[in-house]
Amino acid sequence: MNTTRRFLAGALLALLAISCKSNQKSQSEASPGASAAKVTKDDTIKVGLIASLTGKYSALGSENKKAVELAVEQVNAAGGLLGKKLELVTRDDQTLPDQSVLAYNDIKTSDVVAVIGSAFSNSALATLPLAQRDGIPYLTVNPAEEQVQPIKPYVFVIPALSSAYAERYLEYMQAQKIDKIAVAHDTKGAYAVSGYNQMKSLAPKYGVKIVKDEVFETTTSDFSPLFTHVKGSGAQAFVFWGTGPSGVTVTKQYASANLKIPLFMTPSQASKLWLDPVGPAGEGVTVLSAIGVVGEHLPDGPQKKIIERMAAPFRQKYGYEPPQFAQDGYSACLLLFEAIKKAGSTNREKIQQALENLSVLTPNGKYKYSPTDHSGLTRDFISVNVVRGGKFVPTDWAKEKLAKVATAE
Amino acid sequence: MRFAREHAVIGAALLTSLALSALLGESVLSLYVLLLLTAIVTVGVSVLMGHAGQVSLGQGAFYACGAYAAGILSTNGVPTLIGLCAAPVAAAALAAAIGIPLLLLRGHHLAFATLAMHIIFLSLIGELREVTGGDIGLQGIPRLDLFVVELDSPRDYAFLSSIALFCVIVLLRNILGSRPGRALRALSSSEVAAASSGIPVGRYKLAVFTLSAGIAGLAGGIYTFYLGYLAPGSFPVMLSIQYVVMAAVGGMGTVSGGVVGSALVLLTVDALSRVATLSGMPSVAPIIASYAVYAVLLVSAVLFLPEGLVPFVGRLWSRRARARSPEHADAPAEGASVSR
Repeated sequence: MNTTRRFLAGALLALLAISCKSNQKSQSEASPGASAAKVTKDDTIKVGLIASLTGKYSALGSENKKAVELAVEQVNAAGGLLGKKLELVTRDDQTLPDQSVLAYNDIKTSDVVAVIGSAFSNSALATLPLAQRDGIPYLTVNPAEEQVQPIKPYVFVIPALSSAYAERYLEYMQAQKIDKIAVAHDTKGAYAVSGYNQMKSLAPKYGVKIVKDEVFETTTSDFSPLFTHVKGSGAQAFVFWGTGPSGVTVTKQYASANLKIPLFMTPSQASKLWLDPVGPAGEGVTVLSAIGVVGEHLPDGPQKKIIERMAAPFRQKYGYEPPQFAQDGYSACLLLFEAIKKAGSTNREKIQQALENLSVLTPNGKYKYSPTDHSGLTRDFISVNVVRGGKFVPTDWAKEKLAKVATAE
Repeated sequence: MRFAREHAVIGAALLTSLALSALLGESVLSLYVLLLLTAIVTVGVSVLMGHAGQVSLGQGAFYACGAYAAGILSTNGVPTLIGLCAAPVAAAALAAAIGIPLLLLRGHHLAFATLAMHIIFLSLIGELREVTGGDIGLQGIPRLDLFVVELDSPRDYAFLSSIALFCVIVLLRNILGSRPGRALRALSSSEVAAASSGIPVGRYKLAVFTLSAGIAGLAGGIYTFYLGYLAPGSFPVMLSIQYVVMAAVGGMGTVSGGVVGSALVLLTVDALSRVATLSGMPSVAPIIASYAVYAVLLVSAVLFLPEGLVPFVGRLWSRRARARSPEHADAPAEGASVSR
C-alpha cells in the first residue's frame, strides 16, 4: 500500500516541478522582462501573429506567416516605423479554436499593438470577442462574414467577403448574357454556405435564375449523379461553392462528364493547391481570384507595382508565386503599418481609430475602411479568370474592369 | 492511517493547484486551465481503460456533448450554473443510452464503434444549425455566474477547474477503493472469471462507461464558459485519441497517471510549438515539431514504458527503498499487488 502513496506523491512532485518550472520561467520572464519591456518598449513595436501552422489549415497558415515575416523584414530594412523596429510574436493555433485563445492570451501579455489572426474562421470567431474586450486591434485573414456582422470596433477583415465574390460572378454572368445557372454547394463548409446564400439572394438583381440547386458534402467523391441533374436543366453555367479536395474531384470528373457548359469555381480554388492536382482537367475552367493572383496581366500602375513589391522577393525566397493566403497576410501588414504611421503612436485605441478611417493600396486592392465597413474591399478588385496553360488568365471582361482600378490613383 | 496520509496528499495537491492558479502568470494561465480540463477527462479515461478494460476513442464526443449542453442552455436564457450542472448529466445520459448496444462489443470493435460515434456526433452538431450554430459555431455564450460572483478571467477558471479535478479524483478514488472498485478490477482482467464470481459484468461496464462520460461532460461544461465559443472544429477526433495517449503515457488505471500523462503530453507539445514558431525557424518546423517529435515521444513511451510513467517511477522508487532497507524484505508482495 506504501507504493500507491509513493506513486501519488511522486506524480505530484513531478507535476509540481513541471508547473513550477513554467511558473518560474514566466516570473523570471516577467520580472526582468518588465524592466526590459520598458527599455525595449521604446525601440521596438510588437505585432502578434496567430497562424494555423499545424492541423487542417497548415497550408494556409504557413503562407500567412511567410508573407507577414516578409512585410516585417521589408519595413525594418527601411528603418522601421516611428523610428522603431518591428518585432513579430508568432504562435501556432493548431487549427483549433481553443489553442487560438490560448495563443492570444499568451501574446497579449507581451504588449503587442495589434494581432493578425488565424485563417481558420472558427479560431478567429473564438478569439475576436476577447480582442474586442481587451481593445486590441484584430486583423483577420479569413472571409467569414460573421466576424464583422455586427461590426466589432476592433475587428477588421482582410480578404473580400464571400458576398463580394458572389456578386462579382453575377455581374460577370450578366455581361456574358448568362441568365440560367446551376449551383452546387457544400452544406458543411461555412464559406460555401455563406457564398451560396449570398448568390441566391443577389441573383434576381442581375436577372440570373438558379434553375438547378444541388448540395453535396465535403467528403463527396462521386459527382456524376449531380452532373446528370444539371444536364437536363438548361443551365448555361455550373457554379461550384466548395473547398479542399472536393474542388479537385469535381473538376476532374467534370472534364470527363462532357456537360458542354462552363464550370465556375470560387476563389478557394485560386491557388497551386487546386491547379497542380487537377492538371489538364483544369483547362478552360473559370475561377474567381483576388487581383493579386493575376498581377502580371495588369497594366503598369500603382496596383501592379505594389503586387510586385511583395511577389518579387517572395518568389526569390520561396521559388513560387505568392498564393492568395500570402497576399492576405501581406495586405494585413500594410494596413496595420499604415495605421500605426497615421496614428503616430503605438496606442491601440489610436491605431483602431486610424484603421477605421484608412485607405491603403495593397496587393489585394485598395482598402477603404470606415466605422460602418470593416471589410473595406469591394468586388472591383476581384478578377474572373480562365485557366489557360496551367495558369490563371483574366477574361477580357475582367481585364477591362481591373485596368480601371489598377491605374486609378 | 493509510487513508489519512492519502487524503493529506490529495489535499496538498489541491492546495498546490489552487496556489498555481493564483500565482501563474497570465501568459501561461490559459494553458493551465486547458491542462486541468484535459486532466479531468484523462483521469476518467484512465479508470475506464485500466479498470474496466474498455477502450473508448469517443471521449471527445462526451466532452463536446457536455460543452454543447451547457452552451445551448445558457444561450437560451437558462442560468449558467444550471447549464454547468446539465453538462455532466447530458454526457452521462448519452453514454448510458448508447452504451447499452455499444458495450456488447469488445476490444478493437468497441474502440472503432466509439470513434464512429464521435464522428457522427460532430456531423450532428454541424447539421443542427438552428440549435448548435452549425459549423460557424455557437457564439455569445455568457460567463459562468455563481450568483455571488461572475467568473470572467482565466484565473477564475483555473480555480474552478482545480476544484473540479479535485472532486473527480476524490470521487474516483473512493469508488475504486470500494466493493464496486474491486469488482471492476476483477472485470478488467477476466470478464468470465468476474461473471462467475457473481459480478454483474454488463451493469458494471455500463456504469463505469457512464461515469467516465459524465466526468468528460463536466470538463466540457467548464470549457464552454471559459472559452465562450463552441464549434465542431474544437472537438476533432484527434482529441479523443489524445486522451487515450495521455492515459497510456501516464499509466493506465491510475488516477495520478491520468494527471501526469496529460501534463506531460500537453506541456511537451506546447514547448515544441513555442520552439518551432521562434523567428528564424524554417516554415516546416511547426509541422515536424508537432507530429514527428510527438510521435517519437509516444512510440518510445509505449516501447520503453509499456505500463506508463507513474507505475514505472513508482516501481523504481520502491526498489530503491527496498535496497536501502533490507529488513523490509516482505514489502515486494504488497507493492506488486497495488501497483495499479
